[in-house]
Amino acid sequence: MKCIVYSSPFIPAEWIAAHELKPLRIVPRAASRAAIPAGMGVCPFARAFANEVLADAEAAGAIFATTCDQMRRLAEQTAAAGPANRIFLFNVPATWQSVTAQKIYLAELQRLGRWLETRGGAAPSRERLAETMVQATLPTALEKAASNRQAPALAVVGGPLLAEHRGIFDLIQHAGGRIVLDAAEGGERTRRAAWNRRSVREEPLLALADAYFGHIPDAFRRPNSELYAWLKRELAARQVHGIVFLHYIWCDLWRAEAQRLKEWCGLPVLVVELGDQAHFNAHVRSRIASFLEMLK
Amino acid sequence: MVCAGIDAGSRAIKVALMDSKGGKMLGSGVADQGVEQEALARRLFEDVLARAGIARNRVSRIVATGYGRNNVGFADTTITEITCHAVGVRHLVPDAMTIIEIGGQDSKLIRLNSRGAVQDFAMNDRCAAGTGCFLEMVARRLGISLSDLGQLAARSTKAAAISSMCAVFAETEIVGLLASGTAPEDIVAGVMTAVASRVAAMAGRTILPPVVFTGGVALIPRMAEALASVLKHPVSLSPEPQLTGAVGAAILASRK
Amino acid sequence: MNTSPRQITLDEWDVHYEALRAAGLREPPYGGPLRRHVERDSDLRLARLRFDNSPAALRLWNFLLTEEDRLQAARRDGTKIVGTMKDLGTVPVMAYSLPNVVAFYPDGAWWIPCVMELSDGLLGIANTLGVDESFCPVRAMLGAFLTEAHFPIPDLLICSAGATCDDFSAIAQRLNGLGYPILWWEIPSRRRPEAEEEAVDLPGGFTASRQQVDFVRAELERVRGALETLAGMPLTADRLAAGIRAANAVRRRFDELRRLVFSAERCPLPALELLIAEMLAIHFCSDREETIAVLDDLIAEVKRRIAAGQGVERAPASRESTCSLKQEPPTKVFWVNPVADLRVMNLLEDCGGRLCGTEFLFCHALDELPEDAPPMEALARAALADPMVGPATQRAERICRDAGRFGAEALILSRIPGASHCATEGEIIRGLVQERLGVPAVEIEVPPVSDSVAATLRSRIEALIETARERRCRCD
Repeated sequence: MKCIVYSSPFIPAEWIAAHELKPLRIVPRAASRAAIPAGMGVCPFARAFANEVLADAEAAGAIFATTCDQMRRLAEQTAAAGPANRIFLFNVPATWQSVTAQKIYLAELQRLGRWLETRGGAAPSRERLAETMVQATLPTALEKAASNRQAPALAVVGGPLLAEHRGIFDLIQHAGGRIVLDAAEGGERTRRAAWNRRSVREEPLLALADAYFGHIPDAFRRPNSELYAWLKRELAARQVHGIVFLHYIWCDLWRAEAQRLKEWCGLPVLVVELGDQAHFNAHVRSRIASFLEMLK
Repeated sequence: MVCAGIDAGSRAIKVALMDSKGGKMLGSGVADQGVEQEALARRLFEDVLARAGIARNRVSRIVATGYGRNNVGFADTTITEITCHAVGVRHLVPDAMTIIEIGGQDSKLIRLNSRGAVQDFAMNDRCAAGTGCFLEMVARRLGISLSDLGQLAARSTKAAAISSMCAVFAETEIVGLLASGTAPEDIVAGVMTAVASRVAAMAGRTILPPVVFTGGVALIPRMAEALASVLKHPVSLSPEPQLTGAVGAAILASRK
Repeated sequence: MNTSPRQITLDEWDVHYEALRAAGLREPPYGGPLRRHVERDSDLRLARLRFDNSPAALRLWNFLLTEEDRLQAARRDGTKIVGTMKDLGTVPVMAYSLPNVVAFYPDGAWWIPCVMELSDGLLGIANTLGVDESFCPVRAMLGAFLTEAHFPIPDLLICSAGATCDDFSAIAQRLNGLGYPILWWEIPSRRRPEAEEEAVDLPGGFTASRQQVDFVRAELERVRGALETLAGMPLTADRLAAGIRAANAVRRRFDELRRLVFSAERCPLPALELLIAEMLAIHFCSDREETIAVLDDLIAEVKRRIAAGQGVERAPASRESTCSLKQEPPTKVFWVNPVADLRVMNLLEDCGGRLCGTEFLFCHALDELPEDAPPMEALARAALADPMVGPATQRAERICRDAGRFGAEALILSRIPGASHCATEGEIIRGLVQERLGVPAVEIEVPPVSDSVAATLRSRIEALIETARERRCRCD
């Protein structure tokens, strides 16, 4: 089965699968071959994703999303560097409260469907889409770590993370922290909502759009109040003692939230800026250790 | 008994010996950091013990802190410099609520709660333009010593604007300013403002006074004034600014 | 009083102003010597600029530098004030279609740190909000809101979102998070219509799908509703059509001014004044009728200079050119992106260049709005023609077209520190310009106060001009 790669949580895997293509969500690695070099102002994650797409000759196509300006612009560069029509730029509206925003998202799903057909996919019937959706499993909440229950309960909040940087979870736990909420991209925050079963039967595409576009809180959304509403709920429910906030250098969307989050949440917040390097330097390790000392 | 704190910083190693009961400093010393970190730390530690007339076996516990703390193998344990500076400053300035520490390689802003425990902190280590090595570079460029920077800055009538957030580019800017005839005192004042601005950016909108300035850069005259001007709050110098991390480590050693 | 065109310092303007006054200079109510902006408003940067010496330029500067007075007067007389953000040119056309509304761009605060030589403290305030120098200087806007010292707080804030710069979007969201309500409207990423989609021509030579135009129109309908509520009256199709015609009256004048300036044998207006003038296009500097009067004065002055064969060029910087030509005309330069420090525009003439085209991020605000389409359709098309909402290649294509039109010999791409679009688009624009036009291009980064990098900037521009001249010699 031909494979379609993507990284944004706003791209429904079920829609790709219903087109009889294999959806593959990439968590790019910093060490990927670098056709697009590091540069002043270029987000390491967006660059890594573009490089991974360029290095992957197997995938039938790759989907970028407009959830950040860097991805939008790197989609253009990636498209220019590779075979024609291999890149699809999915227009995910930043606004979400208007009917137009919802219509744009739905129209983009339909346009994506047409593109998937050009990449070897087959247009799904309503029934096939519904069946694909019903069969898809929703990941459960973060598995409870077996670490010490007395350890400070932490939330990890932020945007996307390179594969190597997911190691921050281990780093925190080794330093004596207990992660009870993964609110980074790829974690609980960016999971679609459970299907509305009736809608799936009647209007599966609408149900799909609603579960993704209607329910994933993110920093890029305008306004991004739902992100804070979600955090408020989850931080309280998990009895979080502190937040480790992660963002990439040059990621304006998340970086600008750091201070606001500090002012808003009333909890200690450790801000960690990540760069192109795959490893965590001594400073990051030291900060995490300091943070946990403080919480203890 | 005696407790020891060793602050293995990026530019210097500092040792403090404290009376484990009364919290009185019994000895201290500072030496340049180098490649053989453990050997240098050990040498300094033994030197401070000798100068204080204290036998090694009287030292009940050693805590290492700082960037190179894990290289001090003879320490009993390690604690990060955030916690140590907080404890050290609070010991020396009991009413301190906000601590600014600027070292050679990073800068920190630490907020304390009413009990003196760390409530929140922010660190800058990515941008060298907010650290001591930036000031060193400027002094080198101007052919003066670090301690003369303050005297020079005092003569400034209009601080030059240093726009780059990267110390490498900022150095280019300084070369450009010199070439264009900008007075060295205005350049130094501009650099001090730039360092202070980066620290202020870590502070956010609320500064809880009293603000205490510590770390090696606090020894540079007028830096505290530059910080006060940007933060719009009085900034006082910590006694023994270079030693606060080591003092804090020694106090923490006594608490175990 | 008839004087030869020249760029003069603020000190020279003091003397010149008195001479003009003695000769019977007539000024609008906001007129006066430029010096007062330094003394009254701490616009310290003016003392470091060189200005065109015409009364028309004086009027232009005075108009620009008194906008806050107009906004404060609007607040006093009950006129509703709209702060419109990011779209650069579309929403103000709608706002000014209502008789009791004025609109301005809080984004314009990005020049305050430059004009006040950082004495304003706005960037420091942004720092404390966690919006540091990794963001575009537009972050000064946050400080301006908090201090309320540079413009009255608008009655309504409207900001486009979607295909916009991340840094700006994040700054606006930070403002929103501080308790300033914002009406967000979606501008989707413009794309070429697919084979099965209806294509719609947009101003500036772009195209979009009918579906995208309809989406934008629906979003602008929301903006329209908010403006109606604010104004307490309907924003009818007639009012909008009149507003579009009035905006086009301004835009036609820009077309004429730019054509005259770019095509004249000798350069009749300095780059700095043209940049300032073009800024009037996006929101009429809070007075649409006066914008027309200011532009008419400028056009008349430019025509007079052209007729007299006069220009403002300075002697070429590179006097020992390997080219055999002794007296070379200035190199024609196309300028991309506005500069955070106005002083850099003076460098162009200093280095032996002159403008022959510009793309200051809002060329869609200079293009005439379609008058043969229903007003909301016309506005939607104009909004989608924003060079920043589409692919950088399309922006580069337009730049190539416009640069070729007036014979650009070189291109300067001015990078805005921290602006997300600048990280990747420079390479694309430079590449296409070199491929299509074969002219040299250089990228410079201009901070709000550029004194510390002035020598570097000058070297780059001089080198560009030298390269262009060598190429000119080879072509000859």
